[in-house]
Amino acid sequence: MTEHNVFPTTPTFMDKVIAETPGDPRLEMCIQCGTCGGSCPSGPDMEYTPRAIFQMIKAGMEDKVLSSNTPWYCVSCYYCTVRCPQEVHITELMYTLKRMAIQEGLYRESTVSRAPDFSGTFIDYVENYGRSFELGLATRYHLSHNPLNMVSMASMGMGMLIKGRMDLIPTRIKGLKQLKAILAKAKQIGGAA
Amino acid sequence: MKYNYYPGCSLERNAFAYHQSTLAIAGPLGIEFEEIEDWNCCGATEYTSINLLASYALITRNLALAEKNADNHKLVAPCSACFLNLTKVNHNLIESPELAEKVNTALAAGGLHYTPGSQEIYHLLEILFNEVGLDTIQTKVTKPGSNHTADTRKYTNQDKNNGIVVAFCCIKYFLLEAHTLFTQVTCGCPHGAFGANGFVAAFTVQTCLNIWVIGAIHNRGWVFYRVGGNISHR
Repeated sequence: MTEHNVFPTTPTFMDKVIAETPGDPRLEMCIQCGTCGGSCPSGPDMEYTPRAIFQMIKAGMEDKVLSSNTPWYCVSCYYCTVRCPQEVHITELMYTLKRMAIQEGLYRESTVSRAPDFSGTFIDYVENYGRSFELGLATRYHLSHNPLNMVSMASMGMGMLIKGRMDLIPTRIKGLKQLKAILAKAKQIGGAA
Repeated sequence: MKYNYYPGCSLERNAFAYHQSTLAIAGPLGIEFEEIEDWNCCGATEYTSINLLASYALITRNLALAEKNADNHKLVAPCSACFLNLTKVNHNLIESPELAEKVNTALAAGGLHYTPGSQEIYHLLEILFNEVGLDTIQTKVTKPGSNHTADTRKYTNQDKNNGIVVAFCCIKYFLLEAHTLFTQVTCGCPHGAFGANGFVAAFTVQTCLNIWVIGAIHNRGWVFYRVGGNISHR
C-alpha cells in the first residue's frame, strides 16, 4: 500500500487509484511539472491535462476526475510516460481511471459518454472469436452511435477491402472454448473490473 | 536464431505488408520465426480499459502457449502495441506473485499455466539491432540506397513487381505504413514513430540516430519508409 498516509485512515481516492493499478504507478512522485500535458497529442481536447488530474486525485476530487473526459482522450501513445522526469506510469493510471469511471458509472456524465462502448464493442469480438474484427467493430459502433459516420467511413472501408486489409468475416481461434473458460474465471476472480 | 513469433491481429490484415516484410527478411538474416500455435488477440488498449484481470489472462494465454514450445524462450512481436502488452504483463507477473497466482488460477480453467519470466519478450527492432547486428544487415543488402534520408519511395514504385526489394536507409525514426487510405491505426507503426510504449520509445531514442533499418516490399501492396522527421513532432 501507499506510504503517504502518516496515520491510518480510510483509503483515500488516491489510495484506491494506486491500489487499482498494477505495479507501482509512482503517482505520489508527481512534481506537477506539466511535461505530460505538454507532450500529450490529445492535451488540447482534454478537460484537465494529466498533471491537473493527478493533483485533483490528490485532492480527492473523485467525482470530477472520474466524470472528466481526460482518460478517454488518452490514445495510449505513452509519450508522457516516456518523458515524465519522475517516471510516473501516466498511461497506466489513465487505464485505471477508465476502469473506475465505468465501475462508478461516472463516465455517463462525461462529454465522451459513448467512448467505453467502443472498448466494449472491441472486446466483445475478442471474447467471442479470439481475434479483433475491425469491420464489425466499425459497423456496430457507428451504427449504434452515429449512423451518418458510416457514409464517410464507407470509402475507407472499401479501400481496405479492395486491398485485402480487412476481413468480411471474423477469424475464429481454435481454442475458443478454452479462452472463454479462462476469461470467465478471470472475471469471477477479479470482479467486474 | 529461433524465436517464438506473435504477429497479432493487425499484422494478419491491415498491416500485412509489415508481416510479410518481417517474414521476408527473416530468412536472409538467419532468423527463424515459429508462430505461436492458436494465439489470440492481445486486447490492444481496450481490454485493459474495461477489465484488468481478464485482460491479463487474455494476454498470458499467449505467453502460456509460447512457453509450451520448450525450444524457444524468446518471443518476438513486431507490433508495438502487442509487444507492450506482452512485456508489461510479463513484467508485472514477475513483480507481483499474487497477481501471477490470480492469472494462473484463471488460466487453469483452460488447462494452461505460465511461469512468469519464462519467456523473454522482444520487439522486432531489438532483434534486428542487438541480435542480428548492423554489420550482418549491411552484408545482406542487395539494393543499397543512400546513407542519409533516402527517398525509398522511388524504389518501391519501380520495383513493386519484383517481389522483394530491400531498401536501406539511415533514419531518425521510421514509419511503416500500409498503402491504403487507412493510415492511423496500422499495427504499431504510427505509434512506433514516437514509441507506442516506453520500451520501444526508449530504444528508439537511444539508438535511432544510428540505427539501420531494412525493409522489404512485396508486390501485393507495398510498404514505404517515411524518412526523417522529428521525435517531438507535436
